[in-house]
Order: sequence, then C-alpha cells, then structure tokens
Amino acid sequence: MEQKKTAENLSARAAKTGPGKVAWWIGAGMILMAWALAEAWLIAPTERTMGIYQRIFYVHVPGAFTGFLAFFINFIASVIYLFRRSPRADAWAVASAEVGLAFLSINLITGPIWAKPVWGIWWTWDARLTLTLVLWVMYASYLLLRHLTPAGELQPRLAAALAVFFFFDTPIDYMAIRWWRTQHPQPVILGGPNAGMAPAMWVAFWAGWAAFLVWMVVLMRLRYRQARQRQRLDELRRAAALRAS
Amino acid sequence: MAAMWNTAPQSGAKGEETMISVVAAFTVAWLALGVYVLTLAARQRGLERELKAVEAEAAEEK
Repeated sequence: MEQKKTAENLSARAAKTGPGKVAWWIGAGMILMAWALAEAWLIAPTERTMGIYQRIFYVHVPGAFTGFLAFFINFIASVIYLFRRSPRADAWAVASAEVGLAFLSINLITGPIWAKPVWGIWWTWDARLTLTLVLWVMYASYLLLRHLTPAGELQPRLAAALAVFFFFDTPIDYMAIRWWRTQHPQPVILGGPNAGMAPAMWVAFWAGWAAFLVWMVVLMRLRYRQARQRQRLDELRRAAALRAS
Repeated sequence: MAAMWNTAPQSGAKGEETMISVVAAFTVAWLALGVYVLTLAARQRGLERELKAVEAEAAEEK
C-alpha cells in the first residue's frame, strides 16, 4: 500500500515537470539564444588587443559560470540528501551534476579554440586550466560511479559524500586567476577597480549567460524527471524481486 | 591584478584574423547542447518503455 502510494506520488510529480511546462522554457531558451548570438556577433564591439577572437568570451565564460552554478546546486542537494535521505534531493544532485558537466565541457572546448590564435598554443598546465580539467574529471567520475554501482541505499549516499568533497574544487578554480599568476587572463568580471569591459560587451555577456541559464533550467528539469522515473523503476524492480523470493 | 577590455579604436578585425575560430567555438558550444538534448530525449523514450514494461509485469503478477 505504502509502495503504491510512493509510486503514484512519483508519477504525479513527474507529470508536473512534463513536456508541456518545459516547452515554455525551451521557447524562452531559443529566443534568448538568438539574442545572445546577435549580441555576440553583430552588436558587441571588437576588442582592442585580441580582436574578434575575444568574442569567444561570450560563450566561454557563461559556460563556466553555468557549470559552477550547477555544481553548487549539486553540492546543496547532496548535503540535503546526507541529512534527510530525500530521493528528490538525490534526483536533483544527479541532474545538476550531469548538466553542470555539459556546460563545463563547453568551457573546456571553447578555451583551447580561443587560446590557439591568441596564445599560440592550445593548452598549458597553468592553475586555472588544470583545476578546470580536474573539476571536469571529478564530476565525470561522480557520474561514472553512479552509473556503475548498483542502485540501492549505498549508491546515493556514497555519491553525495563524494559530491560534497568534489565541490571544493569549484571556488578554488574560480579564485585561481586571483591567487596565482597564470597564462589565463586575469579577471575581467569582479576583478577589482581596474577590471571590466566596455558597456556594450557587458550586454553581450549577460545575454549569453541568460541563454545558458535558461537552458540549464530546461535540461535540469528534464534530467530530474528522468532521475525520478529511474528511482521508480528501481523501486518497482525491487518490489518484484521481493515478491519472487 | 585585473584585466580591462576596451573596444578597438576602429571597427573591423585585424588583417590576419579569420572568423574560423569564433565560428567553431559558437558552433561547438550550441551543438554540444543540441546533442545533449537529443541524448536526453532518446534516454527518456527508453526509460518510458522500460517503465511501462515493468509496470505491466507488476500488474500481471497481481
């Protein structure tokens, strides 16, 4: 009886994040994406020293910031799971880790594309680049661990503990260009009184980040729904195995 | 230590610059998101099929 209730509850909640509601977010994401592209390509002025290559910034930095935000959500969801053992928190944790990894991948791919014409090299092992790569590897291993270990109580608990530990690389990665001398440019955003951009560049940056944030919400909702359905599937399978034994 | 970016004194790119890197970066970024959306959609279909099969099995057993 209790199990039937849980299954019905899961189904009802899954319907709430169904395709109808998500369609609005997808529409908003498409509009923002078009605006972001227009800002980055047509409206934002060309930067003085890097020239047109600086335009990669409008996709490179929003990718990193969106990834960091998703990892922060993963951290909060993991802490909640460790205290409350809430399956919903676990579903948010897996959804945010996967979506965060997708956005960090964008940052890691666009970085070398920008670096090659500006620095003359694709990659260098400076603090910022290395810490970002380490962050990517950590969350990839987090997802791999979740995929390879059998479903049950131990899997989400182990994943949540690891996620809390992994998150600490995020602020260190963010601060790397402030703490150490790096090949990576010094901070342009929140870099102090001598940092910043021309006002029109800020608009292009905010447009790009807004588009990515809306897509983060869309993807996270879809992935959360899947995680909840997976939990229900595992629950039904466990019940069937119990009946059979 | 901080960086300040300003606009070019005159519009237009430097002579040796090409748009290839910029086009590649934007294409890869949005393509990666597109591929991820398609992967999620395919995974959703598989999950729903699996769920239906298990639910049907459970109903039969009852």
